[in-house]
Amino acid sequence: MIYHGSRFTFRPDVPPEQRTRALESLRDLGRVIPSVESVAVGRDHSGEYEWGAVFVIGDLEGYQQYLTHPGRRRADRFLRPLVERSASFDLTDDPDPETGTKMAELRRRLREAPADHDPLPGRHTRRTVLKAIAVTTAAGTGTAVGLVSAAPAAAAGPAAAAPAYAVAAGASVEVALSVNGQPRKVVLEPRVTLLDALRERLGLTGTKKGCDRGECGACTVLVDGERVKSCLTLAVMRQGAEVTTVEGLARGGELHPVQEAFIRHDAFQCGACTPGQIMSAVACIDEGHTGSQAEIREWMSGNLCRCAAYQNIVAAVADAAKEVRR
Amino acid sequence: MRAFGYTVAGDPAEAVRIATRTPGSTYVAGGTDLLNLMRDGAETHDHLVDVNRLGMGDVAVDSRRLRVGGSARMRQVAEHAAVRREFPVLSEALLASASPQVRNMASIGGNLLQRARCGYFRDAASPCNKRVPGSGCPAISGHNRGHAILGGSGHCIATHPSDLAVALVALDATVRLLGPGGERAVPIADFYLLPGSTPEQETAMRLGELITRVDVPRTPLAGRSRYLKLRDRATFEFAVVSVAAALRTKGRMVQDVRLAFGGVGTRPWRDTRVEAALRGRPLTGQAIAAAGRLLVRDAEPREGNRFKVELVQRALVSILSDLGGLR
Repeated sequence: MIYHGSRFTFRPDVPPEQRTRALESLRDLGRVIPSVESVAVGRDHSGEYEWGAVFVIGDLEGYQQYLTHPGRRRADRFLRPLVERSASFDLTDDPDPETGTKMAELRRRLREAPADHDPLPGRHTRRTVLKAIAVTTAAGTGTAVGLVSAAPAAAAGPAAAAPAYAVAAGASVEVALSVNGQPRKVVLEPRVTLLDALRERLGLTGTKKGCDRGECGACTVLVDGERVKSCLTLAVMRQGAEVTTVEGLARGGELHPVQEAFIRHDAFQCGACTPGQIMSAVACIDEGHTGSQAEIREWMSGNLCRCAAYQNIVAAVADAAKEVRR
Repeated sequence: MRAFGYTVAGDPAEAVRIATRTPGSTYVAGGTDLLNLMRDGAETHDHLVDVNRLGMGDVAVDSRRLRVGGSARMRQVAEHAAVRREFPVLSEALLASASPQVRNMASIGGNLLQRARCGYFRDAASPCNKRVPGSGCPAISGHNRGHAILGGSGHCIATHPSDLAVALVALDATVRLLGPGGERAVPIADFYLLPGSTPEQETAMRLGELITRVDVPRTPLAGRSRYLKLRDRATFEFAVVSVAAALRTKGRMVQDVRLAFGGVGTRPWRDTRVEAALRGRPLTGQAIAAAGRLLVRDAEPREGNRFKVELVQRALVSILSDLGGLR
């Protein structure tokens, strides 16, 4: 058996609910990591630390799994900023002395390597990240492409002249967009898609989330005039872009010709795919792919309609194309 | 998606430096495949390096070759006037791919590096040697309708899904890479690897390398090329079988021919023996049929994909008959 233990004291300013969550995240590892046979998390009564945790693991292979498991890294990342001081130990009752040597070796290789190579060391605040990258940039050959204006906190640090910016995992970044002609700023993590940024952060729920994997087209919007699937692009990738959603088509009380045509031709039943169909149709007409019914079908193929209102959608697009051209 | 860090690189060398030094990092251009892979747990990355602002998005033709930047978009290449005129197979392969929206987003480098559509690979709960080396390949005895009949191994039979790659293989393209060790060029014939016992290693790319450009030689042959894609629905679908063909004839005689196949091989499939069987001979239905038989001579069909043996031969007849004016 291998026993990995850790003892730690929370920083005094960590609120009770966050402590509870942190302790729970340690207990969770017993459920998340298959090789962890049991976990004990409790008060440390030695007097030196507040809390302790012991993980019981079957063998070396399991120990490696434990050390490299993403769940453990996640818990670690969550816990680290909350902890004032900590100590850990690893012991084994395996009579083979090789096991201990291999454990130490594994630990050295797996636990120290990332720290050595981590370009974003220490606490991953945005400021330190920017500094880290600024150094990289200054050392580079630098064909700067004017990202300065797009760099979020660039003005605050030495990264002001840097052509690049960076965000650490779990940190947020400010993304500036023009949405339907309005300048908008939104602070989000890199993993937030443009779709979620529009719907959840900017309250523009006209853009629909269908499959959330680029297959249905319900999330189609225009970015810098081109139609894209907003579920397949990260908001952070669209820094400085002009986004048009279905909310931005009408002019005052006057609907866009494509919207009018969809109503005229009854080009929907449930309506869930309609905003995406309309945005795609606007681009399809703009691209000039409305020469025939077959051409419209081909170039609208990125938008699925589960009600199968295709006949009427094609008619609406053809009709709107005539109107737009007029 | 689990949390990841994000860097916008300012130039190619910086992108490579950051990606090489940051554990668990990868490049992102369009993200159209990557985001789904990360959502599905088929790939996990701690850090993405954005390569959209590196000035690698140009498409240009000079006297000797077509040069396509690694972060040029599919639409941009497909619609490029010189590509349509002198490299029709590239334009056709791109326009037969994905949807208009995705073609506005997806980059050329990313297209070449898109991962297998095998359902077991994409499902993080299934064993898969490509995703978790040594865990097994359920496709070999499972659902393998979409899988390869050529180039498979006991470890993996997934096909490569890129249409563009098939066209580039037919045209003898070169992939230019920038890595921590500098620049190098890899002929596309050597770029994709057979799965063998290491299906997780799909290309000849080394750690930290970035596709900066794809070069395609400008030849009269490339101007007489076509792409035929057969799929389960009329459009917005991956190939069941596809053929990229370029053909030059004098009268009935085949002067030169290039053939590459999609949907049938574990990599974009080219077999120069098939081309040799046609070259220097009259283009007849018989000659094409013989070449087709040669193509599938070593085929190893499975329960679900047996039909591909016949289908790929018919596809070859179809495209060469069209290109050669036999019908």
